[in-house]
Amino acid sequence: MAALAPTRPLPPRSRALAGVSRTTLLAFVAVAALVVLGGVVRFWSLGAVGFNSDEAVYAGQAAALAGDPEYAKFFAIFRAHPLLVQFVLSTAFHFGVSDVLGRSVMVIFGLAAIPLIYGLGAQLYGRRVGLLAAMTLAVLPYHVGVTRQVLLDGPETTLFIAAMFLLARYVSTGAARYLYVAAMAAGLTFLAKETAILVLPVAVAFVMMTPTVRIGFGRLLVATGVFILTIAPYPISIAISGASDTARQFLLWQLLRRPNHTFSFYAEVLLSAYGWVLIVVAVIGITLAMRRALWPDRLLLAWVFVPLIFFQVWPVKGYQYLLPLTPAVVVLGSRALLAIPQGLPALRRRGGRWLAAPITAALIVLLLTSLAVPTVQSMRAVSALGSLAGTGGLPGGREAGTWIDGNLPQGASFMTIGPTMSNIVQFYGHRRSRGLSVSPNPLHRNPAYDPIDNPDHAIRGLEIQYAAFDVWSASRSPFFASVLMGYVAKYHGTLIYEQKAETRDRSGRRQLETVIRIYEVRP
Amino acid sequence: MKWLAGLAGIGLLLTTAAIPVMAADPKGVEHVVVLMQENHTFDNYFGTFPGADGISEGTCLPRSRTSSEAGCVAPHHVDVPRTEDPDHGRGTALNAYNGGAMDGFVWAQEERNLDGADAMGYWDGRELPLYWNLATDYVLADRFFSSAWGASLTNHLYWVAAQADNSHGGIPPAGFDATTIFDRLEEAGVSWKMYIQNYDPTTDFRSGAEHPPQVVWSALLAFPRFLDDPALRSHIVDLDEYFTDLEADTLPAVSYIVPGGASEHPPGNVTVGEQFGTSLVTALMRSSSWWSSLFVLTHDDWGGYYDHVPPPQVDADGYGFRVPGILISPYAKRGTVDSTVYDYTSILRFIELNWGVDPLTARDGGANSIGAALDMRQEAAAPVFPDRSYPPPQLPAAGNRLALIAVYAAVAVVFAVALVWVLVPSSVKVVRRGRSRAAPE
Repeated sequence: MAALAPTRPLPPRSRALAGVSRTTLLAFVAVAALVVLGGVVRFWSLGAVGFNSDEAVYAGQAAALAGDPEYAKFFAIFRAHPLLVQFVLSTAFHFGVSDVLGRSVMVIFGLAAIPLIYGLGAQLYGRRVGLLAAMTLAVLPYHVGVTRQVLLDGPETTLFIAAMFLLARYVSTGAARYLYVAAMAAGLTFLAKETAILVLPVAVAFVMMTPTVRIGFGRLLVATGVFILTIAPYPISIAISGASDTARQFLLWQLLRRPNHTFSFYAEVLLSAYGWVLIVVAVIGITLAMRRALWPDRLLLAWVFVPLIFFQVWPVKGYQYLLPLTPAVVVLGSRALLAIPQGLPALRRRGGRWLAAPITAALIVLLLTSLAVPTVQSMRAVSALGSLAGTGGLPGGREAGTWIDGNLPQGASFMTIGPTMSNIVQFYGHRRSRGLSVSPNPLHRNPAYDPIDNPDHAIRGLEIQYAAFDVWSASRSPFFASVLMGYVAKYHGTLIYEQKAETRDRSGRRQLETVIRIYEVRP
Repeated sequence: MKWLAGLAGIGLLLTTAAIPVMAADPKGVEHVVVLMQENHTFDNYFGTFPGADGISEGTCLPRSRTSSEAGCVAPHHVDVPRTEDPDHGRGTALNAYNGGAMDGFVWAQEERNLDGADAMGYWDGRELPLYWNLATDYVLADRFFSSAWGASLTNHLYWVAAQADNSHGGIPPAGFDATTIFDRLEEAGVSWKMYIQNYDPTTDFRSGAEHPPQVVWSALLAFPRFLDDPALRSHIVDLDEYFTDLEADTLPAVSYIVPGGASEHPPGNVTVGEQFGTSLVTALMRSSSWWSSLFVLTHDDWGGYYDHVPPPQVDADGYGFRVPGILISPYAKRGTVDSTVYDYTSILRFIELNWGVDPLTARDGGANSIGAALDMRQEAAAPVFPDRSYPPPQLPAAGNRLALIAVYAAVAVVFAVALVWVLVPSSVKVVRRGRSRAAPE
């Protein structure tokens, strides 16, 4: 039988693959393996900790969009952001609202970024760079951490890569269809999160910096039209929801609010998000790109610097805001890492060339280890008091909210230190909640939140019957924490529930502590 | 499958210390709480309540007993939370009744030099959202009559003793001596308390000729027996104890609650009284006693306000005009309007039947029990706090939601098609290129 084997016709699938080169096939298998690896680190213990505040809001909006009245009561579908991500989530929530399901959708968005960055890297610098970039993104703690949460930034980043990949395809092939679909992808990126409007200045800066790239007036007109048509759901949804005032107020509030972090925030945060190895190779990659300055370099430089400058200047800073520019950093770093051995004088000499491969391998191992270790640690770590928003779930929040849902009267209303715990109470507890730190002055608050104008009046008038204290908000707002406890003392506060969880204190020691306390209050 | 364990939430959260607030352990009614507010008729509070026997269209009551030229006053919404205090004595009540014609409400006031228009005012869910939502969520009784014509004292006597006990002329110098429901409960060893808001233990019927509200509205403070026996007197306590009893799970079987300043007695602010009454309901809802409780929220007399239903006359004392009656319980026939004829002795009848004690008089012996508003076969229902607006806020229209979904879905689908349009041809090219290279082999 063995002798007959060579004459046996290939099965249809193998025949189909016969036309694909061995390298392409290997690349496909490698990327698929990286997607699996990325899936493992993203799905691992995905539901161990419940939603944080932002996740609760986006998932709550999605559940409301799916028509679930339990969420529609507390989460207005339209707040300020476009709703593409919530729309996608809502399709999943038709099968039931759950935090794990919501995060799974985000993970899938995150995993889609892996083949896309491979395609981008391969398009710009060849398959080896594409593969290393995909490998890096698969285990990058920053990307892993954000795409394990229901945040807009993960899908935004994936779509940003898609837009840039298609733009790169257009530049390399000259085929107009890539430009038009790139415009559409750019529009979708904006629909994922409005700050992704930066995709436009990135593209404009690239084209202006790169005289070799020419886009005819006709093509530009069509691409602009496609972009405008694609983002049309945003103004349409504002009009439908009658929320144009809210959108305007939100924009004004974002423009005029006081900075929420110091100027050096990103410098401090990104070291832990990227790891020093990636930062070093990325800096080398940026330097190399500035020196070489071919169109792929210029594209990535525009992609890094336009958003970086914008977010550095923008008063509102967030841990996850720089994620959309991370793919460019990763590709530049990957290219630099692969170029380093060739650039070393010792390796250029005859007799030293054999060292290039092991040194490259060692650098790759060093890079991936520097990324994988914090990624694995972050999956197992417990949250520290004062943790940044966007770095993970809120320990104890889901459990407290679920207890509220099962044990407190329908229609009960809560007072919390700030909106963080209120969002948790509303998502898991299905009870109305407002934060004391939400300013009664409309100029100083997010218009999506309702303030407690007069807490005494609200308690006396039976608007509020419970107070929820959480250590996370208390560590950020000790003043409002003391105000809340003042009302608890003043209005016969009775402790009815405590939630304990493992946390880290400021010195990093693990401890089991009460993280949430719920009190009854009455006039 | 370690990640599955993670999904299940076995991760960082190690312990939960929950102090049980409510455990669904239905036991039947073990606690009756009765709050007797002051001076409003059914039509005055619920005359426009959906599904209830309320004010008829075209109603207009004459200003004069004799002359039609004086015109008439139609029922009208009062957009402030108080009116002057209409006269609500027995004589005025009988004039308003006018032998069953029910048309004397305006002129009965005018004849006492008061503004008859006040009698025709009414409030609704705009001013009384908590009461209206409680009535919506639980049982609203629209045939709940005050037990006697006239004002507070006699009705409060019926509330505790099912008889007037010589109260028509006020509190007798020697006080009252009728057997009360509390005597029955004492004999049967059933716990009870009378909670009085802002209770002043130094004030009772012996304190002076003018009897303050706490004496009239509690009635027991005019019974020498309850004042002089320390054991009996210890049952009369300040309202603060109601809350501590709920927290400590020591709520007695029968609780009577007497309001103070938040009684809704005109010209008091009705919304303040509404909040007070609702706070007592929600306190019960928050306690473990909820699961075996019945809260009765009613008003002690007509207050001089219009009501259109002629009260059945069962004896010389009444019934008087209808008053609001909201029955709140985990066993309530929720969301219903109960048209069973009740009066204050219907509360006594329920207590007597529930704890197996004898009726006090023929009045309570023949009364319908308010237990008719309950369905003890149903599973005890979790409590619902009343919303502060009536009707409660409505969810956004589904049409807007579907339109939003449609526009986003359209964009997503177009993008997917476009991606296929650009990516599939290039993939095919790659395969073709590979095949052409592979062909010579």
